[in-house]
Amino acid sequence: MRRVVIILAALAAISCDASEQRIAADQLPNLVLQPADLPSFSQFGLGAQVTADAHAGPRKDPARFGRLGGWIARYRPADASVRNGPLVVESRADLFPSASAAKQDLDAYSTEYETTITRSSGKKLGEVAVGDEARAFTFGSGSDFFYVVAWRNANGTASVLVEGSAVTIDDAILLARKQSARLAAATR
Amino acid sequence: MPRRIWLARTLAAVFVATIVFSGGASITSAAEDDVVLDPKVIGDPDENGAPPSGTIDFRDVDAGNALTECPQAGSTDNQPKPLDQRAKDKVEQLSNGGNDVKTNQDYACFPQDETSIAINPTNPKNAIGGANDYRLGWGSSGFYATTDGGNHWYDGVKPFPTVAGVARDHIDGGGDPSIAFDRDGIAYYNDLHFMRENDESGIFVARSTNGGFTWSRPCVPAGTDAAAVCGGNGDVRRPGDGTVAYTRDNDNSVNGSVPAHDKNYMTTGPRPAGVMPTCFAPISKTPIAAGTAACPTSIIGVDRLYVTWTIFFQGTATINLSYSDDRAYSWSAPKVISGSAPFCAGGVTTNGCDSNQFSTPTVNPTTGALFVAFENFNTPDENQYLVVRSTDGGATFQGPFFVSTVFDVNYPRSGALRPDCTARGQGGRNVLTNSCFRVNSGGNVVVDRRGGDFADDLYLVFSDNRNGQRVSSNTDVFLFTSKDGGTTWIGPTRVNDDPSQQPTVAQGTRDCGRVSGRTCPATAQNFGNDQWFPWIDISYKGDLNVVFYDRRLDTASTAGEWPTSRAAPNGRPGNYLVWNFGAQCSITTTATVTATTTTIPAAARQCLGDEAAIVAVPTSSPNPASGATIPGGAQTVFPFQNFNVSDTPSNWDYTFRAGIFAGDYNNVAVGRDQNVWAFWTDARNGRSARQQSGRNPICEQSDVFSDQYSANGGGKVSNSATQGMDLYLVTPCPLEAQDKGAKEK
Repeated sequence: MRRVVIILAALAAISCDASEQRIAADQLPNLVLQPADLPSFSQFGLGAQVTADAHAGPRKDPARFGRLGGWIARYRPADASVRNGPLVVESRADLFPSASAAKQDLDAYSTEYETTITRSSGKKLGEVAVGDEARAFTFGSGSDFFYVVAWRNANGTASVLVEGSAVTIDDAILLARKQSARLAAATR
Repeated sequence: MPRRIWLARTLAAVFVATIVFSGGASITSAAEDDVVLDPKVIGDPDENGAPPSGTIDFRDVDAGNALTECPQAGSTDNQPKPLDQRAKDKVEQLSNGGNDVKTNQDYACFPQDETSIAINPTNPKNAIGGANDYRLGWGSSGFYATTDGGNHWYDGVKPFPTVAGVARDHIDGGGDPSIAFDRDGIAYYNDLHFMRENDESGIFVARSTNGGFTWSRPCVPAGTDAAAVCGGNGDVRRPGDGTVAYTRDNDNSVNGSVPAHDKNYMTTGPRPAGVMPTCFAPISKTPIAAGTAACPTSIIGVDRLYVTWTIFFQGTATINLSYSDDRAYSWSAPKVISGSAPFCAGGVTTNGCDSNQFSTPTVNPTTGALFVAFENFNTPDENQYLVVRSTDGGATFQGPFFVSTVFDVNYPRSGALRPDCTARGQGGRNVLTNSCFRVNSGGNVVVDRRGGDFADDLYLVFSDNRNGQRVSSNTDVFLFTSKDGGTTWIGPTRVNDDPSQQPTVAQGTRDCGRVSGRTCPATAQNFGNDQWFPWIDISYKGDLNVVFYDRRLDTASTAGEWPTSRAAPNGRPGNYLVWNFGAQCSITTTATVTATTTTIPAAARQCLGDEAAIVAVPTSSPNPASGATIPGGAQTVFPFQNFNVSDTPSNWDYTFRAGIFAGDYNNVAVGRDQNVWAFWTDARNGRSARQQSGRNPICEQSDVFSDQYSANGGGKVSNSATQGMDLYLVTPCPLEAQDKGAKEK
């Protein structure tokens, strides 16, 4: 009887996965912030995530949780004299075989940045409404502060990191929602 | 990862020790120290083991095309010029002011970095340089040759190796250049090649018999020893020519499933007395005696060629050696030479020194003795430099011998502690204050060329941050010398003679922010300016010549291309723009110094600073206490004359890819005519890339430069080197340099 229950549960899970909304891997280049999302910014990084883009910690392994691939874009003000507001924006997107794997990656984001805030006198921020579920962190000191919003949409995770001398969580959320809309639009 | 292994073993050992000794034995514990050391690992694996080098991190590079020329300061060639030359901006005009010569001749804006140079012993006007060269749109191995004493240079990209039986035309990425001549004037170009989409990699040596203008093409052979093949029909190459080591991938993905070859360097020298020349079978590497049909004496070279490199696999990073007696046609099977010692901990085998990087070989030209130096990471905290020695042509080795602790765990590091660098794309590497290009402590070792009483004398340089902190780097260059063939070492002698002060206990020591109880000052202190990437050579008359990159001439700047990196976290003014520096000191006397020597004789004290002493060999892996005074921080006597080699500043934020990579080493060579050739990379022709998108914008670029000076008369710091410094802090990309089909109207 117990074996039957397990089999039924597994079938239900498979069935659930089969009907789960997904983002296809070929959409990755469209899942990060695009130049149109940041007028007056200049893009200084764009492409598939590579070794040099990997942070230390639980998200370093490119094959983590069956990851299908990842994309990254980086921006900074086109005007070199700008000193207020975001001075560097990093946008990431990663896709996984299932929403549950993406959840694991979002948890790994938390682990990664909890380490960062421990070492950088930062803090985890409260509820942030981006995507299906989200986390937010801030750290930094002096004239260099960072806000990170990481979230999940279906089988994808994404993050926006905003760095600058006079930035707020609103700067990060605004961009994160723009990017989240891209993930939502790509979900089928 | 080795450090994880070390930690696991340490924890296990502590656990066992606690059980064994808990019955009342008095235990000396870490708690008795003034502070408790946080292990290097703390959730940051990049802090721990030997870092990969060279171009591998950037195997994804797809550099864009510059349809119009980039700034060309330093060009001296007389070739035809492009039709649509730009007007020179002020930085280019200033950068043209000195006598530095740009050796790469491409008009495009692709970077060149990570330099090596050698001088032809049969023709002092012939020099050959090598560098990572991205002119093809991805990392390759560039060569730069002159036969007129450096006035003009010919350049190109060395032919890519082929793999027999594989349906493609070459092994893709290249880099980690090392150039050497044998005594007959045949030149050798040693480099790394790897595929961008999988783990295939190899170490190769190409040969040039015309002063570096054309090169042989290495061949990975297939078949059997008796019927080995190289290329297709009509391929005249000898199977295996130039292939030192090669590993094919087994699953066609970048996942470390097979050993990875990395960070090679080569040297040449006479075979020691009694060592007979040998060839090696192309597939099995079986030794073949010279004088046989398969190893005719006609292909035996005057010198034995040695290549050392790192093999990364399954958490280890061993130093390996291969040699060739037949002018690089065949190579011995790789041999692990990093060995084991009581001061190595955490290896796969007990006391195994299996986490290493930055190997450099040197051969005594009178005895044929071979010495190899490398940095070792089998340590609980600070790392260490080691040397091994062979007196039989690389058949057997003695050592490793302990040279020094290397204080490189307190560098600023991209990641949680320098998120500004992470945001710029730097992945978990050591960096410096005010910038994000990656750095390491590696240097090199060179043996005295004179023989006789000097035959056992060695000189080794590296740089570290013993005089700085994570929040304010102050990396310095140190010399260590041995007078007994590498067994015993004397040092440190600080080579750079600018002000440098070791952080005091009140200032948080070198370990502030890293070790419990060591608090960094609220405002970062200025302990001195950064010097890094040292390299040393010695003239045939005993003149030591060191080069290194140096920021001492920038004392007050605050502006920069990346403002958040200039100020983060608690930055300080100056210490931003970069010059290539030289330092000289002459050795005319010597005396043997061994571990039992009580006082260093005067004859052995030349070129030593007042803090230099005989280094005590540790009986276990060294772990200097935080707060201890480290030699090298209070030197008052500076035997090395310092001077700027490059005539202008350079902004390394413009080197390549948001300023996160400018190569991993620097170079210098001294010819038989007492002429010193410095060969370095700088970004005087790089510009801000704000108008351009993508990872590798065309206005971010570095070039490779050469300059020459006398082996004992390099001069002093020139006032003109700081001319127009403000212009270099932020230099816009000339719109004319952009693709005319894409630039904004």
